[in-house]
This record gives sequence, structure tokens and C-alpha cells, in this order.
Amino acid sequence: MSTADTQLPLYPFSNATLGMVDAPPESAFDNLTRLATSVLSVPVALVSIVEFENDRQYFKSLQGLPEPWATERQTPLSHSFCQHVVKNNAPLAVENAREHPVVCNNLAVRDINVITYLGVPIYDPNEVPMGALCVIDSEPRHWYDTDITTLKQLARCVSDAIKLKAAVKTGEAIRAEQNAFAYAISHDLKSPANTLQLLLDEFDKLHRSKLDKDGCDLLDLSQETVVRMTGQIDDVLAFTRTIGVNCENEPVDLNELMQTVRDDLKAEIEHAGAILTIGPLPRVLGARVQLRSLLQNLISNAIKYRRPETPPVVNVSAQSNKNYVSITVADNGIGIAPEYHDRIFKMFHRLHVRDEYPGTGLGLSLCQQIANRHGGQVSVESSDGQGSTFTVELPLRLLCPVA
Amino acid sequence: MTTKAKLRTCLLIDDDRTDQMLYRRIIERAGVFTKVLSFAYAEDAIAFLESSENRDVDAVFLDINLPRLNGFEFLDRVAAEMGGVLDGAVVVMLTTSPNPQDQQRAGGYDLVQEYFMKPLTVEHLNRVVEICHNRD
Repeated sequence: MSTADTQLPLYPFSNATLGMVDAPPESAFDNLTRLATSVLSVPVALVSIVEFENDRQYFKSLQGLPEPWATERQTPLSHSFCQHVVKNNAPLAVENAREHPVVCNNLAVRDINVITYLGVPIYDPNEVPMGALCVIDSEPRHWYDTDITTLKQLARCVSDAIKLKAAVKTGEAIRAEQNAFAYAISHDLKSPANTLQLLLDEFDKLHRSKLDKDGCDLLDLSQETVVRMTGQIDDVLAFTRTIGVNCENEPVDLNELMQTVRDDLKAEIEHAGAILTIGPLPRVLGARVQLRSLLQNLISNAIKYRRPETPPVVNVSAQSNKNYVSITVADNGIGIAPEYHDRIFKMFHRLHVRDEYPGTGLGLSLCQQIANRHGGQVSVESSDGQGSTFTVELPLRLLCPVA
Repeated sequence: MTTKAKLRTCLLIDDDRTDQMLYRRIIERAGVFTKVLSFAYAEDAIAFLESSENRDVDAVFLDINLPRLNGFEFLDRVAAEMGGVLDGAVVVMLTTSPNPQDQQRAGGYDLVQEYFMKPLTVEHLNRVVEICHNRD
């Protein structure tokens, strides 16, 4: 990371929330300590996080440390050389600890047999020293300038990895905040919308009889509009609830899920006289609520965007290869001209006026976001008047979707 | 202003049927245009401009967020394919988008004279009429 990247406004995180203490080892740090041991030919390398307030150093990564330290992953500061690196914000090179003025009485010399030590500072995302990358041996040895340079470069990698963790966590936090905000604002809009609906209904009951035709038409439109407004708010609420849900990955049998979706859409299916055929579907690892919403939106669209006078025929099927499972939803509806294929997945984008096909322009955007959060994507093949085929590609080894 | 001649055709390009009806009422009540034409799709307005023989459009109220072709794409198409068909007209954006990027983008079009936030008011309309008359 260059210095330009340090302009990123990162949230402040404690060592604990950043996962730098009391947290499992991570390959990003373990690879660097491994590299340090081999490049500098030493048995021990540590990423040590120094916490003066807790009187300890915690080893986020450790190589070659004897028991019980390897299991405990921490020592009191009485056993810490690294604290001097942090205090002075400078490298500490010890060739023989028994004769070194700063550390000759350090208990690590007696208890862990630390005789030779080289440590350089590692930094938090604000460039404040938070610990050290150090290498240790039990034999006296001379440290060359090139050794210090090498270790500094590796320490920069450690600091950058920490900064990257903070950037990811910042992104997650911002996303959660925005989602909570969208939810709160939609929720707050619900209340005046409901009040307005009551007011208009009251007005309707008591005063409609006194209105002329134009007055009645305006009242009708007002009532329709407020109902639509409530519906739009509900759609946004549903969107934020589905996307923001803190989801655990679980095995989901898509055949069962499709049955649920079919029940959810029973009224639409019957009203349109839709024929829905569902091929054998796989089990996948994912967030059930989100996958249900994804399939429900695709099938509901397949029914909604039907050709007039032609009952919708919707085929759901699946294919797998070794990396991906593809679920396709194919219909015989009005189709989508290729020039609009990109924009249908954008939030609030629509291809029709509401009088032709009602909607808020959130459905496919929700589908795409759900697929993305499962590490996959939704794509479309269609041309105007030729039906549409939507394909959901999900990686077979799914990571947990990010809430 | 009352002494001035009545303006000719006004185009409303907006996908909301109710909004269109309300704008039409406001414009007709003010009695400043002889004809008000409404379009829900920008494509339909383009088709009208292509087919209409007497180019008597004095004003266009243009929404940004439209199905298919949006307001900006409409302006691009007009500029690219239809030459100076709207050169004599006052084009104003009438939108719910408070996005400064949209406003900035609108400012980049020579054709666009004003950027109004919905809903349309009598003041908006008076401003358009004033611009129209200043051009004469």
C-alpha cells in the first residue's frame, strides 16, 4: 500500500474488534512470520501486539515458540522485548541479551531462552506503533543492517495487512449503517403514509357525496397514490430486511425452497394461469431467506411480464459443473431487448410505466445483490418478444454471504 | 406578459400518469400554451418529433428517471439524430432527483434552460413562459 492509500477514512477499531488479539491465527500473518524465519535463518518469529494497559503482549502469529507459550499465545510484559520497540518506535537489535543494558534482566531471557532478538515496529491503520515483528534465537548472533532492512520490509507487509483488515471492516460497518438507515427511514415514512390513508378514507366516507365528478376522480387518485406509496415503502423495507439480514450459511434444498416459493406465489400463478415446471434442483449452501427471495422475484417476474393472451410457461432447472451451479428460470414472456439487459439490474430502473406493469424497480436489483453476496451473479438472455432466461450462477463452495 | 401571444405546443415527458394529469391541469389553468401533449416514454416523444410536420414546440418538461430511455438519453438522441428540432424550444428538467450529479449533467446540455424539482408550480411555469417570451 502506498502512502496515498493512508488517506482512506478508516473507522477506529480496537485490537480486539480488528481481530488482532484473542483471535485465531490468519494466513496473512503466518506466512510472513514463516518467511521471516527462513529469510533470516532463525527458529522463532512473532507478530506481537503490545498492550500496555493489559500488561501483555499477544502473539497474532507465532513460529517456533516452545510450550506453554505456543498455546497461550501471550506473555506478561515482564517477558516482552517487543514493548521497547513500541515505546521507542524504533527497531531493537539484541546480539546477546545477557549483556544488553535494556533487556539483560528481562524474564524472557531466563524463561524462554531469548538470547538474540531483532524486532521492528508494526503499525495500526493510523500509523501508531501497536506491536512488533520480531525474530529470536537462543544463540548469540550478529545482526547486519541488511537483516534490519529485510525485517522492516516484512513488518510493512504486516502493517498493510492490518490496514486491509480495517478497510474491510470499515466497508462492512458502513454497509450495515446504510442498511439500518434505509430501514429506519422507510419505517418512519410508513407512519405518515398510514395517517394520510386514514385521512383520505375518512374524507371519502363523510364528504364524497358532496363532490362532483372531478372531485371524486381526484379523491380516487389520491387514494390510489397513497396505497402505492405504502406499497413502495413496504418494498424498500422488504429489500433492506432481506439484504441486511444477518445470515448464517446453511444447507438449502432448492426443491423444498421452490415448493415454498410456489405456495407464496399461488395467487399470481392461478390468476395468470401459469404453468410452472420445476426440474430437479440441487442442495446448496446459502442463506435460506435470501435465496427464497431471489427465486420468488425471478418467478414472479416471469409471470408478470407475460404476453397478453398467452398463459405464462415457466421452466426452472439446474446444471452443475465442478465450480458452479447454474439455476435457470426461463419464460415465454415479452422478453427484453438486449440494449436494456444491463440496466434492468440497477436499483429503481424500470422498462415500463406503472400502468402497463406495476413495480418499483427493486426486484432484479435485489436478486443481483443476493447472488453477489453468495459469490455468484444473475445474468439474462433474451430478446424483445422472445421470452427471457435468467441464470443464477452460484459457486459450489460458498462462503458465508456478507450481512 | 398578458399582451404577449399565447405560446404554442408544450410537451410533458413523464412516466407518472397522475403527475401528467396534474401538470396538464396547472398548465391549462394558466392558459399559456395552446396545446399540451403528454408522453410516458421518451421514445414516444421522439417518434412524435420525427413525425410531426409543423415544428411548433415551445417548451418541453422532461423527467430524468424514465423507463427505458431516460431524460438525458432523450436529449442525446435528439442532439445526435434530429438536428435542431428543439432549438426553438425551452427545455426544462422536471424531476424528483436531488442528485447534484444529475443537476450538473443537465447544465452540460445547451438545450436545457432550467432544472426544477417536482412538483411543478405556477412559479415554475411563469419562469418558462418568461424565457419563451424573452427569446422572441
